[in-house]
Amino acid sequence: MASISIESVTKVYPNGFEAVHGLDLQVDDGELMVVVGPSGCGKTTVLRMIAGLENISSGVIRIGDQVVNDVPSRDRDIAMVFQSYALYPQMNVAQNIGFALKMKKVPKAEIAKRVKSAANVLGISDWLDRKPSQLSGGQRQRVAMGRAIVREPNVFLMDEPLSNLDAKLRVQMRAEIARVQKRIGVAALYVTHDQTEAMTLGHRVAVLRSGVLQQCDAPQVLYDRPTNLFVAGFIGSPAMNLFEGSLNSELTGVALGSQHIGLSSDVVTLHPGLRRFAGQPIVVGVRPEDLRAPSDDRPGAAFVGEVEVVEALGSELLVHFTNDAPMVQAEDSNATKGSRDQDEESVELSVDCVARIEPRHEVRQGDTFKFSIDPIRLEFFDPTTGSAIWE
Amino acid sequence: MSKMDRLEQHSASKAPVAVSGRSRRSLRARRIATPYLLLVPALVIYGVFTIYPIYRQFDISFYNWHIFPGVSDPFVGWSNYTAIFHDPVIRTAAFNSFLFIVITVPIQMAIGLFAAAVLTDHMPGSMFWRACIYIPVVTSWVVVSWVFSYIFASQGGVMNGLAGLFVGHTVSVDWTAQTWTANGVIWLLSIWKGVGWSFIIFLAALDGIPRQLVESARIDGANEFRVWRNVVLPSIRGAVTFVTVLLVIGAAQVFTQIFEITKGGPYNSTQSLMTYMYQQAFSNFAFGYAAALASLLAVILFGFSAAEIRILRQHDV
Repeated sequence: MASISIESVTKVYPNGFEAVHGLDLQVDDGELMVVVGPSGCGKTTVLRMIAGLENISSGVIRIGDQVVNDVPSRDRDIAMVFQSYALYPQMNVAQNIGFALKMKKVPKAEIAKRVKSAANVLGISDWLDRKPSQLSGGQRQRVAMGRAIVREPNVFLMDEPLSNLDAKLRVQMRAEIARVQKRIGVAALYVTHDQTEAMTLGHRVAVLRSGVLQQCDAPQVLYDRPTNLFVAGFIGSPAMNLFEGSLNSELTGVALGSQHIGLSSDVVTLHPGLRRFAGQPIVVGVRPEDLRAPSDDRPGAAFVGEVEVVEALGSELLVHFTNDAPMVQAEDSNATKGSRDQDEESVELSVDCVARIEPRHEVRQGDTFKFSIDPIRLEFFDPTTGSAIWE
Repeated sequence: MSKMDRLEQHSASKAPVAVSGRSRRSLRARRIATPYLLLVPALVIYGVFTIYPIYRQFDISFYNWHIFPGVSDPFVGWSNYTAIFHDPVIRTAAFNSFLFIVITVPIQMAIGLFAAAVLTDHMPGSMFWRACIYIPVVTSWVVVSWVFSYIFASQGGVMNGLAGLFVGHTVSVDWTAQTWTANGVIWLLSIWKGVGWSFIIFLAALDGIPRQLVESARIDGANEFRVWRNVVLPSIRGAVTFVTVLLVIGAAQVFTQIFEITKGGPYNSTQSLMTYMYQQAFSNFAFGYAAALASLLAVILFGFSAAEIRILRQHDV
């Protein structure tokens, strides 16, 4: 068992495209780290570099204490689950699972024992004689997992292993992966573009954009204290509402269009950096669940909007509304423009605001609805750099 | 009449009317007959140019058949077939054909597979080398046979010229006039001209192997030899079978290069089954005997084709 250490790693392809830029990441032994980001952000490249399937242009990758920059894949003692599962089509399930052991010249009896044990863990004992073509997507996924765990690797890598499964199976397999990773207890790196997978699976989540690490933290920290506009917009579904606002010089309120949200001294205590923006433009973020229906026991600042669409999800209502507060889209912010190229698939933010409220409220399309905001729940960002304003 | 009126009139004429049992039957018959009618031209061409010649060849093989009108063609039963087994030249021709298969087919496949493995998209200049390997395939057999005849000519041939440079005096080996050197020239030409075909099939097959399969094997600890043995070769098994069977069938019918370079000589020592068959029919005018030989070869090749279909079905290619 070993940790993974990525130090200032950069990957530049021969055509000049820089897929990963100066990445620093540490995955501790037994930790499940999820790398998340939009398509083309370089997350799979990171995984492939750790696996030895891509050369690195600069920097150092260590597995345990060993620098593995020039170590071939077969000598890195890693296991990897591919998006397509990459099962050997001509081999049956048992042969697929036991292939790595066969390559290590493990005795046949030992291979059979370990294959059986792995199959029991994953509940695939009945399919050991079947070929991959005779299995469903979920079954193949389990076999791919079995192939990875049977060899008791130092490092466990997973490249979007659930993306080919249907939604129900994905939820099931998510729990399965978490269980297996806990059982084998090795450093695991999991790549996905699905933030739900990232939030539910990861002990820590690294958000990548255009090959640059944006933030690496525990899922809840990522959600509650995003370091910049990109993370704020990327993590959370529906995404955080981001408005162009203007902080008054007394730091007692912020103007969002024609509306004014009062700020208590607690807000400034929590975000002392706001003092630098007194009387200046600022980006204000509010999570959909922090835009509530007004109630007596939850007083807060009023924020009015005209309801455009109401999505009833049973347990909650998603209310899409508009008002004159100008919205910020993460890809339009200065911070995300920067000097680096834009992602091909940038974060999609709705052009209207979204509130998540309890279903007992009667909200109809066309209504003018008064939402309640607890100012302490607001997030603030520097409109120039896109960085979150805390200290 | 306005356009609208005309449209209404047209719709009225298309209104459902009671269809009698007889016309319904006629409609059904027409529906069934249509596909067969469409097949007729292809079937006629196939019948006239394939089925009938096969039948005629089989028919002729039982006669002492003459091409000249007015000359009688006596029925000889199976004697043309029994004669095949007593003909010493047939033994040489069959041996040469067999040797041609076992030498040219594996070498073509090995070179084709090696070239396909090396000339990947990542290799600089791969398109140029791919073209170089494939160009001989699209050249004419007759033309390249003539070119090879000149290369290996005893007087002024390129090969003798090169050999002369090495040994320091004039060399005048008559490559095509001696059995084994002549066979060597024929094999060399056939491999050179044929290798591009297996190369292109293997290139497509290798391209079809998912990259992640090979990467997965590497991560699983396989070295390059094991990757090829356990992942690559099993993945292209269908292509290997396909190339093997078609090359064997093609090699069993080797004709043009032998006909152009040695004409089966010297003393029938480079004859193949096809060149000997041709010689029997069009030089010796023993059409019945040649037809019997052709029928026998057709049966053998039919066996190969059946094996091919069976094996290909097994591997879902």
